[in-house]
Amino acid sequence: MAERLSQYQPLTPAVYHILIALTDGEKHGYAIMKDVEVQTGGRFKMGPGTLYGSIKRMLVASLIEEADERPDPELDDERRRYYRLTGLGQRAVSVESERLAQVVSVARQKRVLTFA
Amino acid sequence: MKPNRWIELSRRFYARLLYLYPKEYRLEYGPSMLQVFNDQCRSAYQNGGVWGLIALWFRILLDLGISALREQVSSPRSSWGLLEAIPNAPLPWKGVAMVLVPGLIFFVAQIGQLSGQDWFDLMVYRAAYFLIIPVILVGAITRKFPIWGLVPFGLFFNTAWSYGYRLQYFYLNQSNSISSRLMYLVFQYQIVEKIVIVAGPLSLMAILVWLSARRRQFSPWAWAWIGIYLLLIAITMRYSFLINLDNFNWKFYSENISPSDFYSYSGFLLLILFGTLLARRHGRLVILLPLGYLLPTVLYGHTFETPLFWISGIVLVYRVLIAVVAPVWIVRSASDMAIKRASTIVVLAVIGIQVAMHVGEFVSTTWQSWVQIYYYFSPDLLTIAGIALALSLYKSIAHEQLQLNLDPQKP
Repeated sequence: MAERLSQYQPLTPAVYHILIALTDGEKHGYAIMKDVEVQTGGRFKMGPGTLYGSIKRMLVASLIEEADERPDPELDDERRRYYRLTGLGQRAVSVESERLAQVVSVARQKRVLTFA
Repeated sequence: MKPNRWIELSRRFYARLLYLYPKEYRLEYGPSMLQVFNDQCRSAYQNGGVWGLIALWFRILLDLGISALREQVSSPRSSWGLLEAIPNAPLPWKGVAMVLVPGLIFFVAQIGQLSGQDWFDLMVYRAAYFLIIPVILVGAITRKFPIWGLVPFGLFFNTAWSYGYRLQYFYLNQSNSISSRLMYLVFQYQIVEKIVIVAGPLSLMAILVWLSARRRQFSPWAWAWIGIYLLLIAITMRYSFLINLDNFNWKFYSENISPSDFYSYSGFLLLILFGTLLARRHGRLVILLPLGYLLPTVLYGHTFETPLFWISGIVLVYRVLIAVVAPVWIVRSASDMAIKRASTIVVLAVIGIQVAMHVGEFVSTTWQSWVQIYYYFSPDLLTIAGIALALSLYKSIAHEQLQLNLDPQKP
């Protein structure tokens, strides 16, 4: 798995944020998009093209999968497609987060960060 | 929330714009994208009214333009049929049309030249610069070298390489600009000239050979052909010394090697070796790379008795073969063996025409020595050795190409 993961590192910003959004559980496209906006304080706004282009590539790479079960049609639109993380996706997001944490740690040591 | 006409209008327009994506992608993700866009419209209208919608459209159009282009060029089955050949299957005809563009330009230019116009020279010196632009753009966006970029790249390499050669001579003989003085300073000492013109290409060749050998791309035949090619370069470079064999002196020969001669002959070899880097993705189809290099070759040499009508006909057949028949036949060949067969037959036919023209010229001149025969046919021998080397280099990685095309794309 480590060898497979290394070919996806580093992840693109869109892929990383989508993976982070899905760590809470399965979500549909618009919910992922809103989650990413919240994560980044509105600085990273994805369009449907970027979102589904990334989803397509992540499905091919087995980082995410489509959820089989649909929510109750009375609660949500049954045409919506839900996505969730795979084992590989969970590992990829933690490896990438560790990498970023290391980068931040180095930046802190070099006093690049102006806040603690 | 009740339906709003601005939202409805936006939704309809966006649904139309989705046709910019490849059909397969649109069928799979189009409804979801439309639904997400609809949600975005409602949110934008709720927060900012019509101005909110307008602001959203600015972001959406940018996103749509970039992502649609990305999907179009990266999808193997996209409607343009641009990028990937399906292993062991002929390239779709839409992809063939893209591969054919440079050849068609040269073919039309050749007709123009034969009918008294001067398009062909313009094509030889200018087409390469324009044809390489879309290849660079698509390569930068997709991070993949497209199949239809192989011929333009070979053509561009030829133009750029010969320009470097001419640059040296041109600037050495002119001294009216800062750059020319700089060039003069660089080349006034022969040793510097030898380092730049000989050691440069040689170092690049050594790196490429090392890289290819590491990937086990060098079969015994490949080593043999590279040896033959280098031997032919060595002989061709000192043709004038060989004429007078009685006074041949190895010391004199080695001390008087012309760096420019080596530079001009080494370009084709360097390009073929460079092709090994692309062979991992495109397999034997990389043969289109040297074909692009040969595309602007000018046919010369004929007997004075041959009517102009026949000469024009031969030139046209030659150009059809190299510019139109070869690329189409090669990319429409389904298997590795079929590509090899198509490349070999077309290249031999093309060189056969060249040889026939040279024979005519050779027969009409006064006999000097056997070396003269070599002089007339050395370009053809170098081309044969180069193509044979390319075919032996590119074939051994066909299985890697299969593997690679089945690998998932990096997200």
